Amino acid sequence: MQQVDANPHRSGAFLCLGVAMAVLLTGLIYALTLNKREQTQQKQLTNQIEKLLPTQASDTPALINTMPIEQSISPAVKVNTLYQYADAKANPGIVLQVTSNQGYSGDITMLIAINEDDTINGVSIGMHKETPGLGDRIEAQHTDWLFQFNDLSINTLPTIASWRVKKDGGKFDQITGATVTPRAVVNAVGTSALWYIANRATLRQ
Amino acid sequence: MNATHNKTDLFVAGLWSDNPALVKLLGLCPLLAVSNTAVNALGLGLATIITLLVSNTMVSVFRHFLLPAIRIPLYVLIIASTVTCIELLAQAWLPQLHRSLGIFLPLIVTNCLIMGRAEAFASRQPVSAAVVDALAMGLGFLLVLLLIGISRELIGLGTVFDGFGQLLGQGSEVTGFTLFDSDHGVLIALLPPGAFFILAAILIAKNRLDQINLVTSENNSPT
Repeated sequence: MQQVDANPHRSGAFLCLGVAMAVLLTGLIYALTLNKREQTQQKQLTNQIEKLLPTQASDTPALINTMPIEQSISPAVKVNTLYQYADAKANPGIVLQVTSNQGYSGDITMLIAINEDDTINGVSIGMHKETPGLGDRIEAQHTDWLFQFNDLSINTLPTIASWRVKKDGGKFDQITGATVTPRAVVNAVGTSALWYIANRATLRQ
Repeated sequence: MNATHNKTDLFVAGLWSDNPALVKLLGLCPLLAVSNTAVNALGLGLATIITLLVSNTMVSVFRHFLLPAIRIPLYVLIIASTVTCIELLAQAWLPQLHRSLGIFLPLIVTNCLIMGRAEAFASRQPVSAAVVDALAMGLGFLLVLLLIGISRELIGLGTVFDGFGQLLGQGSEVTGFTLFDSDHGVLIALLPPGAFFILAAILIAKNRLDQINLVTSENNSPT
């Protein structure tokens, strides 16, 4: 069936009107929620960091310094921010926010908490687009996979060659069905940890 | 289609006789891609219902302005801005929900089920019928998604509704059931081919049931 538009000018005008209304509405909602969205994101980040830090039941660690780093430390890994914390007994701890570009689909952002004695206190996965049901099983709410980094002493794994999954001859567990994602996380944690050790004098001032 | 629509008829159509996933085979891209666990299936299903409700309502409200020549671009416009607005609002006020449904929302734009309902139903019907239709079709889609999701998770991982708490929000400890250890799962069920196998099995079962129903109703008819 051939469709002939009896009144193309009217159709064009209506289409323009529709586009204008949609742009206006979306723009309005974007502007109205901008502040609130940033606040919510910041709050989530703070919650996530606090969960990673070594805490006794009574003392909440306080953020003492936020250092923007924004430095690519390997072709795959970029350190975004360093957070310095201290608890009530003034034990310092640091949290690195890093991004790996080796994810199966896009970047994986993660937080790595490192203690004063160069052990990893914990790792937490932030934004990622890994396959639901496969790659996203790196997240703590799905499996215990991420907990293998807890209390790991960085000095026992002094070269990046030792930060590999078992399939590649390393000591870290992999996840059945997902090869790329665990490899990316292990590599990013290792690269960042070793970078931290190499630069700890300047980072822990 | 008749001008008047019985609400029960609309639900029967959405859930069974005209089911968007099983009869129309609409929205297969998200249906097959995001049905690998029961929780993901539920998440996508809920996101679809919400979007379908809003878009059907909008299309029905503006149906007199959707001139034939420009209706398709306007549907796309309405659906895309609806999804964008829902995503922004969820990001601001429902961060937990956004975290768990966030990856599904952009997928909805590509779901031809929403477009199909706008074209075939909402653009010719009053708002109340369009809302009921959105609920019925959304629910029909959700149930099929859930069925595939549960089957794939069970076969592939040995669990059902694992990680249910993340749909409810952070700190929720509600988890699903584990029936056997995930090491004994059949991995292919989680991978894309698994979706096709399960969907095919469901389609076979549905068509078989319809056939049996047809035969019995013919046998019972007075002629």
